[in-house]
Amino acid sequence: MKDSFNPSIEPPKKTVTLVSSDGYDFEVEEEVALESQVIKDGFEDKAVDDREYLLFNVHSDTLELIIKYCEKHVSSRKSISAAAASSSSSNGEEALKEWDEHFISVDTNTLYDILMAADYLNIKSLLDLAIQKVADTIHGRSPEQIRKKFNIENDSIIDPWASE
Amino acid sequence: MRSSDGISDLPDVLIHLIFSFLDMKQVLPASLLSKRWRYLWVSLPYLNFDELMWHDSSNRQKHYQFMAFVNKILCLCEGSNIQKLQISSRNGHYRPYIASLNVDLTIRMKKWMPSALIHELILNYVHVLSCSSLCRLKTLHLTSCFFSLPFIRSSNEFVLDLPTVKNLRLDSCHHGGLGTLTINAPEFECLVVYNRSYQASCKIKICSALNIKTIHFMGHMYEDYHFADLSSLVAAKIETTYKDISLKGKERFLSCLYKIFSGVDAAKYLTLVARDFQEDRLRVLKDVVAGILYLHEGWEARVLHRDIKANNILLDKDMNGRLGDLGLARMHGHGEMASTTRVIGTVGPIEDGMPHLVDWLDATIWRTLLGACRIHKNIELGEHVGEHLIELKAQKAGDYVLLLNIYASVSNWEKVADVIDPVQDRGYWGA
Repeated sequence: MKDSFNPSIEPPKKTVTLVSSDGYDFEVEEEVALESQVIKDGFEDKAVDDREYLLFNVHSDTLELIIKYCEKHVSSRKSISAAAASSSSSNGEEALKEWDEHFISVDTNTLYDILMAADYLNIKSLLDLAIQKVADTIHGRSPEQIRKKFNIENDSIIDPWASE
Repeated sequence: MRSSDGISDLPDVLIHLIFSFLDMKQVLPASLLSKRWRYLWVSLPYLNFDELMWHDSSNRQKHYQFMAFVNKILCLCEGSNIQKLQISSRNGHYRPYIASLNVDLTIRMKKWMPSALIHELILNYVHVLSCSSLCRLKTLHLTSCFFSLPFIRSSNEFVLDLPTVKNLRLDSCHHGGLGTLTINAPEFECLVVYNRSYQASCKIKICSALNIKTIHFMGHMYEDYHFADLSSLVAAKIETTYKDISLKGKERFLSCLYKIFSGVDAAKYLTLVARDFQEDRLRVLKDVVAGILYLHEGWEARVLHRDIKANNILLDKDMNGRLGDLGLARMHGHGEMASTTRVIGTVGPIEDGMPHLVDWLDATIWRTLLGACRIHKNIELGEHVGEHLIELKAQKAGDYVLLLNIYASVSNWEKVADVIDPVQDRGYWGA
């Protein structure tokens, strides 16, 4: 009951170390790392002083992006809920959406890496964002255009669209 | 691990996920990309069909094309893999003639669906004949759908057999020509019914819903309601539009409300939101005022209720308001001066609301709370309130006495001594 009276006092910030597939260490706040369902699931089992995760499938370049995404989402979620509590109007969610859109505007290879990493780490919102991006790219394009966009080599024997 | 071929190297699961964001009409061309993509759509677990993709659906020819497309794809897909199927036909919405998509669809489903894994079925503007053959169906959303009676009919009752469905959502469905809509769903957990545009002129009957947890009715009402057993219900919410101002319409509306609510004995949450309901609200208010007048003037003794709030006003089936709960009331004779020196209240979950209140409570309210703490022997809260009083620099000797009494009431003499010391230093005892 006491805690409910002292909402302002926060515990000191804990950090977690994430190690990328090429051996770089990334120290992030616990809250940020917990955006990943996989890390969250494994979190309870780990000892307090050994919070290090080896991410064999995530390259450091990608990991950097992913951490950037999670940090942004954690911080903006906080500011949105703070704005809601003080009942002041804010366009935090819209701003976040815009930020997301900008964030996901990357080349195909990076998009592929983000997709794989988001799937591996099980970050639902990021996975949805990346998949929506791919779906949007496919939407309304002919196979030829999609091939060009995604750099896919046509190995089919018959291609009824080729003549168009 | 970088690949030059990018997206193509994604595992099937992820490509399926990408396809689930697209309509089938866009998915199929993607199968021509390369060998890798060729047969991915066959095992797709989520299928979306939307007639809007075929554009200019006013053209009847296009509508048949759409229907043929849906049926063909459903035939070709490995039916056992489909988990979620969404079909939006736009045609029936504004065309009076009956689209035959539904008939075809139902036959097709009967053929191979018993082995299917469909969990979720979302149908828009589709004629519904029967879904009972979908033996794994958990979620069914019907938006602007038509319930078609069979050609050979004995009555105008439409029976929706949903042996495995847990969640059903009926949104703006058309009940034209139906007398009764009967829903058989032993596994029901959640029912949402939304009649956006008009009053449904049929009865709704829900049989054998033994596990139903929540019901939510929105928009216009049905003609009549029958519920077999709602004993397992946890939450009921009724959000209704109330526009029929004729006396008969009103009576029917109230009897429907009463029928819904009378069956829900064990529900924890009941919500009733009625728009355009001003007149009745005013009447309830008048009833309450009449009740107070009677308590004050009409009886041999004068009764002060002292706890009038929404919770203590009860409504009967004719929506008459009654003032209830006289637990805090006081009685005295006419002509006597009514005076009270104590603030009283009922016990509630104060801890939850506390952090929000802290800033605007003044010393008087804190002191009242401290008194309540003494009565209920809540030391922890009492100490906290004491701290706040000290913070406000409004402490009086009385506050210390109250705090002392709290400690004394639970025989915590060490704390009593702790409080007495500073009090003696300040010389309050003399005051």
